[in-house]
Amino acid sequence: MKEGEKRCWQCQTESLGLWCPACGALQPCSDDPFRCFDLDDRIQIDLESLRSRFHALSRQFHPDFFQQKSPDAQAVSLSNSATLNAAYRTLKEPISRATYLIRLVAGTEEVKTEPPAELFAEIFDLEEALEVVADGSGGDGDRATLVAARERFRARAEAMQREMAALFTEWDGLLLDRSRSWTTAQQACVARLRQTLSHRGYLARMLHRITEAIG
Amino acid sequence: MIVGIDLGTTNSLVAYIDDSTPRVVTDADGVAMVPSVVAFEGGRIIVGAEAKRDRVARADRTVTSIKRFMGRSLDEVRQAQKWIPFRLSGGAVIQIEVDGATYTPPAISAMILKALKERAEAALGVAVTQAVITVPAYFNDAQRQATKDAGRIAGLSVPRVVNEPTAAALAYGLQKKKEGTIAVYDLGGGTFDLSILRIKDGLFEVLATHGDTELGGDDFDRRIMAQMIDAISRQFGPDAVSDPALLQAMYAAAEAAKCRLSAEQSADLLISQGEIQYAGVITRSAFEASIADLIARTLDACRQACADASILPTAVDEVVLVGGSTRIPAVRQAVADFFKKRPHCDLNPDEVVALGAAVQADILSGGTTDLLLLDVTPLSLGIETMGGVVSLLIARNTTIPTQAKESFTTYADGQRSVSIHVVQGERELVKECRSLNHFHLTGIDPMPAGMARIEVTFLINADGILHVTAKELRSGKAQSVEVTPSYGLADHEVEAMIAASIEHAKADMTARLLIEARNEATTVLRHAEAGLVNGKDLLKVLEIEKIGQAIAALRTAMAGSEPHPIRERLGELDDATRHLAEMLMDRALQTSLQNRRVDAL
Repeated sequence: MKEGEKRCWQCQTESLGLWCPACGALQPCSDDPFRCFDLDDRIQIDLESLRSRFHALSRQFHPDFFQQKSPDAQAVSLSNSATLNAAYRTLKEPISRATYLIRLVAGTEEVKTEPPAELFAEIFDLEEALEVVADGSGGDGDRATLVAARERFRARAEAMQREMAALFTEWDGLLLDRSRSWTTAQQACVARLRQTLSHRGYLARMLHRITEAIG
Repeated sequence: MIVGIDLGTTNSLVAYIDDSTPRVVTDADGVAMVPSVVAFEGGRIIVGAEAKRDRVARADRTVTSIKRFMGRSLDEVRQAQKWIPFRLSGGAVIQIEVDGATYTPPAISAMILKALKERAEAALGVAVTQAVITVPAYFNDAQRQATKDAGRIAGLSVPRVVNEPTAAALAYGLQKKKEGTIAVYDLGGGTFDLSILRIKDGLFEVLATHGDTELGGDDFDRRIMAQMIDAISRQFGPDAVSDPALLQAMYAAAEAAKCRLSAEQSADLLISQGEIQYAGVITRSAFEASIADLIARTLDACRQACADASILPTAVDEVVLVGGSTRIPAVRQAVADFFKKRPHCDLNPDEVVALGAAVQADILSGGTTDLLLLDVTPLSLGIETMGGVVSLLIARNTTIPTQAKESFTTYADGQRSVSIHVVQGERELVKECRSLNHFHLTGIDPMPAGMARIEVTFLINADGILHVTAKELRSGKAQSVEVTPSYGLADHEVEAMIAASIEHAKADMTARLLIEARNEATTVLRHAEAGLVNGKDLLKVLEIEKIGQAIAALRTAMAGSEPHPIRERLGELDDATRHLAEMLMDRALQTSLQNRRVDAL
């Protein structure tokens, strides 16, 4: 078979859509969430239309409607439904959409959570304060350190939320077509997106720990 | 025809679609519920109302609430032993020792399913070979698998297991033509589920579910029993309460009192079992106080489900009550307070699940095409990683079917196999979750450590049951996956039980033939003995002796447990009395002729 050529698993007719034009068999859908939903690689999407698309595709794929079909057709339906549900989960949240695109552009690496460079200096003191407050040996000073840090971190997290929104808009504006041969501008955008996500994750975790320690 | 079956802890029902309307199958008296009670009587299996009625007389040969043992290991249910009059043994799969034999929970459940199957066949006049069976939404993988096994043992293929609250929502939504967000509060005999669904244009989407598979009416009964056990063991000693008949009698009394307390302010508890006499009273307020913690546990699950569905309890449009235990006024009040609205109970809470199962069955058979259920997996699925920590694969409340892919490699040169330990549960440590399965990927080509890249797909199907496949990415070769279930029955064990159940069917048949032969023999004996008295003057001594011998031989055969000898002796008695019968007939004829002549005169 030639590259890009797709044939129906059942009757071998050339078939590019979800349904074979010759025998009417359901074809395997794409593993890629954006392709599965037939969407451009945008981070900002309309949730209501995503949802109705999810429902429409569920009605096409669900194993309930293939119970009377052949075992092979049932297998395609099961696999498509599983893929669709996983895709919907990825597309429902902006962060998971962005994370998916980062992996697509930057390879398969995970997005690790790391502290922003400007916070390196205070992290050491903060960790110490967290420790003593948690085991009950801390004084009012340690508590005050945490309260102050929480204020700063919250403000920082809010700013980061705005940065991220701006990056989402920037990414969406850089989209040209569906080819996925990424431009330098796109790669640079994703690199910043990745860093912001990583910092955001770190801040969220620290805020959670501080709140647990001081209530 | 695919039927829908609600296989409940205390009652079971079967339903079907009649001209696009779901209906429950009833018996001659119009009763739809079959008590999930199985009794054993000399090789005969008795299921349902008769078994429940005679539970005290057959105390140690009557099995109730078998659903609580489905898919469980002995370790998980050990504390239940003191509440039940039969012995539990086994290990990964529980064995129930009753009437000199052992049965697994799926084998006992299969007996209930078979009774429902026969009931449906009698009512519909067609063979029933497929059934959608409902399970609690919070049932784990092993419990679901055990339910499917039970179906197979009963001679039913089970194209789908459906979650009970979802089935209820399907029946409810269909009947009431409702749209919006509904919460189904399902408190049955042994299990509790809370599911939150969104209904729109015939699509029923479960947003979240939470529950407890060991919380239900049985536990309420036990709280009442505790009061009796206390008093009786004080008066008669602690050993007295371990008597199976007393245990069954207490259960029956507690259940009856509980039901009465839904309508009345107090109920009597009367036990008269051999030496033991007990007369007590329980008030509604005392009962409600004794179950307050259990009701609170259901509300914890409600809270969790609402959080997972990202919805405030007050934002739920409707609350639907399902399961017999929702008749308890305190339960209704607690639900109303939690959701800040009056729950709906206008559908029969006992029947709605079976009706929904029938609707799902109709969807699967292609009859209904405009409805679709999108359900979720109730428990998170993870794999064991270094240090006994769980790495999450599929989060709870993920829409099913769903899948997750994970890559594995080898850590030694030439390593030929990799083992994966899959667990189900919400905790971070393996030991706090429930071990599901060990999967062994075998037949990996020898290569240096870390070179192999095996992609494993964990797929949860529409039944909520996990299937694992694997392939080596470099070669594209599918890996064989060997499964060692931590719990549950291996395929060959299920096959053996199917065989055993066929054996049982033979035993059932023998029992029926025996009863029929005995009945016939009784009638024939009565006639023969009467004939001997009436026709003594017509026969020679030798003939009378022969008939006497045949009668004695038949009586001996009737005392046995085989129908065949009775039939043979019946034939012999028939031969021996033929002459007598002819003579008696002649005499009767002559008498009647004489009479007629007299009449004619």
